[in-house]
Amino acid sequence: MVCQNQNIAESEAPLAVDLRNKIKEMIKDGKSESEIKQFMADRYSSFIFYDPPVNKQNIVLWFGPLLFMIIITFLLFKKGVR
Amino acid sequence: MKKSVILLIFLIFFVTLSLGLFIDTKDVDSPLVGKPMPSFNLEELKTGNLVSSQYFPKNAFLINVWASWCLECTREHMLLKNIQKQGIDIIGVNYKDNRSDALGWLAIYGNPYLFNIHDINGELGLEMGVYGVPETFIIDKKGIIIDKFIGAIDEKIFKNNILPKIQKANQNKF
Repeated sequence: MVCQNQNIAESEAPLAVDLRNKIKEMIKDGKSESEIKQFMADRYSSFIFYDPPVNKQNIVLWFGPLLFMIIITFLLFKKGVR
Repeated sequence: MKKSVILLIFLIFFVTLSLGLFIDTKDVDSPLVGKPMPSFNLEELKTGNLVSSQYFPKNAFLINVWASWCLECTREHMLLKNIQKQGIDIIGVNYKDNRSDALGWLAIYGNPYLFNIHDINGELGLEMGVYGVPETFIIDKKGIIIDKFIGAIDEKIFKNNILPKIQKANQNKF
């Protein structure tokens, strides 16, 4: 998989070009943004989205680090200043 | 803060991240698993005749997406030939490739494919959620996608993952 962190507007990877053309075609056919997103997700999973949604598969990744920091901060300050 | 608490937290973190090292990154969660193979009406690579899913075998089989410009594809090609010799049908999707380049490649490396769908523009690949080549799909006798692998498959993946799934699919009465 190439250029994972580039959006398809910028990427020159062959797949990005194909996806751009498909989207162009779908827009011409009058498809809505959500229909187009659904089309892509049905084939490539939500991994294809530049802004991935928050779902139960990746919720640990989204909130894990924050949770970790909160726990560490709490433990560090628990003893407090004497 | 107790040393044992710090140690415990880091241990949990370490274990969680280590587990990630053992995830098989080639066996992906495709949203197409459980769905039928997308329909197509494309030319067969060698003959130029139109082919569609009605030419699919009546037993579980593999679809292998490949191209003559794909270096990784050469790595799994020997294995594909062995798989075919074991009696498992492999249908090729020749992805965004020039016909004579593709036929030339098969002449050099050998041809394990029952036939090849010439997906010259990659439109079938797009319907199949193909990110690149090679990719291998397991299809059951009803034309439903059972699983998908990205990257070149190897002996281990075939023996431990692909073969059991094919055998199971062939055992199903429906």
